[in-house]
Amino acid sequence: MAVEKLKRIVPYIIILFVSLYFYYLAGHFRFSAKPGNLGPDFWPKLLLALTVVACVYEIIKTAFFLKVAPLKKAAEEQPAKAESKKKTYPGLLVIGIAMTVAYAYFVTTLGFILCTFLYFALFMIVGRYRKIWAILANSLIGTLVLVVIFMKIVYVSMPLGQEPFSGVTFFVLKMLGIK
Amino acid sequence: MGDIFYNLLLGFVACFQPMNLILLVAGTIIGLLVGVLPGLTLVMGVVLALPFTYPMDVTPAIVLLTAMYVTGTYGGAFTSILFRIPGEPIHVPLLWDGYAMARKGQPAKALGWTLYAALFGGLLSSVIMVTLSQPVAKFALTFSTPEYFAIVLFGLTSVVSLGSGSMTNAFISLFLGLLISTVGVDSTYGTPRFAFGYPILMDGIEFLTVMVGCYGVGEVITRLGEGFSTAPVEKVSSMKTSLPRWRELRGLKATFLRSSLLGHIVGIVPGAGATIASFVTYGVERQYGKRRKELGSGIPEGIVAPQAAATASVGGAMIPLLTLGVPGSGATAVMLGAFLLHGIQPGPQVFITSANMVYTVFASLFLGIVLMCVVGYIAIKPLVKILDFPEAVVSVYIMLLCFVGALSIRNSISDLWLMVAFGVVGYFFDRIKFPIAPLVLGTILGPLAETSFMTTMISFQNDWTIFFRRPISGTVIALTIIALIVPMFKSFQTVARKR
Repeated sequence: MAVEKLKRIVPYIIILFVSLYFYYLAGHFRFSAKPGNLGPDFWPKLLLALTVVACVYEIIKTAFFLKVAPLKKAAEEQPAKAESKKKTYPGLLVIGIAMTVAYAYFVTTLGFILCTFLYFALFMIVGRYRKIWAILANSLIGTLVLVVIFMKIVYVSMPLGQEPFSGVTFFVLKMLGIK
Repeated sequence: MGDIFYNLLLGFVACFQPMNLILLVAGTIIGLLVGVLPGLTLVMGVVLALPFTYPMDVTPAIVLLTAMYVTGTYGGAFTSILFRIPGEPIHVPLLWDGYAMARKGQPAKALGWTLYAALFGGLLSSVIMVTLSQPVAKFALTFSTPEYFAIVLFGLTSVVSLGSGSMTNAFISLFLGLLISTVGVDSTYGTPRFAFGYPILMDGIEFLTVMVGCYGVGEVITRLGEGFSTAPVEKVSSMKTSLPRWRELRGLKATFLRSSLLGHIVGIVPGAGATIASFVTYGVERQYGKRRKELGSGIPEGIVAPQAAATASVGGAMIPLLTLGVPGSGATAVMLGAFLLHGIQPGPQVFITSANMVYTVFASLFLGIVLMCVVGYIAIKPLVKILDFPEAVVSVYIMLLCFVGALSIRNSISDLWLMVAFGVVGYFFDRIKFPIAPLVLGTILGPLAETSFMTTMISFQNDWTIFFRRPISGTVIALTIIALIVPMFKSFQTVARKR
């Protein structure tokens, strides 16, 4: 029961401490306001104070007033609910997040085209799609479509990558007639 | 009034310019597809379309987004009725009577009722929108900063009080959103706030980064964590629309009218949107409808009420966006972003400076509604085919459009990093039951809220009672307090009853 309550409280505790830290930072803004006028720290401090109040309220409510059924008992009482609960795949989730972070990290090195192609293919594999030809076709066509739309029509400046990977980018751009 | 008709006529003419027309048709089809696909919400669809509008003029850009927005309220009806898959939360009420009617062997008739409901609700709401917008804009010209602050506060509060789930969580989410909007150089004093010396943070955090991250990346990550395990759709024998007869329609005229008007009004309330409109009208039908006891068994009233309201909410949501610059829903928040990206600040002035653009958008809404019903009538089969695409394939396209969207905001990799970070935030918010809408709306309306508050304080010598003493701001603040107290009171009542 205590563990269940703690689980519920943890997010509020984290937000509370982060808010207090930011409140401290807001107290150190450098500005020169006329005496009696509100400074640029007022608004963020107000918001942070309200966040702290909301977190404290929720922590007290959960810790002292909320009746949480023990985990085992709750599961026994609601077998149907437990059954209908969706199956989760934490491994896929971690890989998915890691791949997304990796995309942001490598896109400047590999270039938009190569990085996007790899992300396309790997994401589909991680997403438990197993038709290899469809994966390759989607990755290739998807990447080229995005390149044509955004680099040729919409004119968005996408990362070209660094040597030797930029060679791939320039080759593809040349093939597509993009200068 | 003559002015309005004349401008609207010019708007219709502008809609038939090739570029606008192409985008109107494209927006209609894409909007229907977005509505059909479960997991790709209407707001997400509009967000993903935003990067495509960068090279366009503001008018075609808004025409595209408006068409997507309005048709997104209709596409999900097909899958709700035929397969019991609501493409959007808006269409959950359609499962109760729409799917029930389909199970009784009348799927074509159920689709016919939704078509008429969307058409009637959408057109009536558009007429009201066109009629009301200019007078509201004229009235809004008299507003000063206290009124603006009061209106923004009302919008932010209603998003909290109208949401389902914990109000405290919604408040925390809202405060965090408002806080995100304070990052960067302060507009009054030029002081850097929470920038930590990073140049990109000095320029502030773009709300589009927050929006694309939380709605797009966060949602896809969540679904990946569930293993993309959406069940395959069942085979349906008939997939066509059969229109109800005139006599049948006349029998439901009260439901059509009531739901459309209510949907429009709910749409005007900032933060409410189509989902709340469809649930509220279904609830009203359950309380006041002629055949309320039969609701849920597959009767047309249960189909017409939510669908008419959902589509009618679009016209309602456009009014505060265009006349006050305050978005009435998630999708209109993205449109606000599109306006700002093109250097136009929606508000009362826009009716003077860009009247042509405003009336072209109005006209495109009328045409979009008619077009959506025509496309929905003739092309339901190919539209629903998109459900056969594997979720992993659709999701990777969504992810990459999010990446491109983030990269193209300021051509900066830092925005990509921020978007990924907000994607993770979106995922955790979903896990710990913190609503995302207040966070996003807080980020969007934060600068307006702060500027109008600070300017008022400076102009009125820090006299905060000014918000209560001026008639309009006082009334709006009173409404805000009511909007806060009523759900709190109801929640206490529920707790007391349980004890």
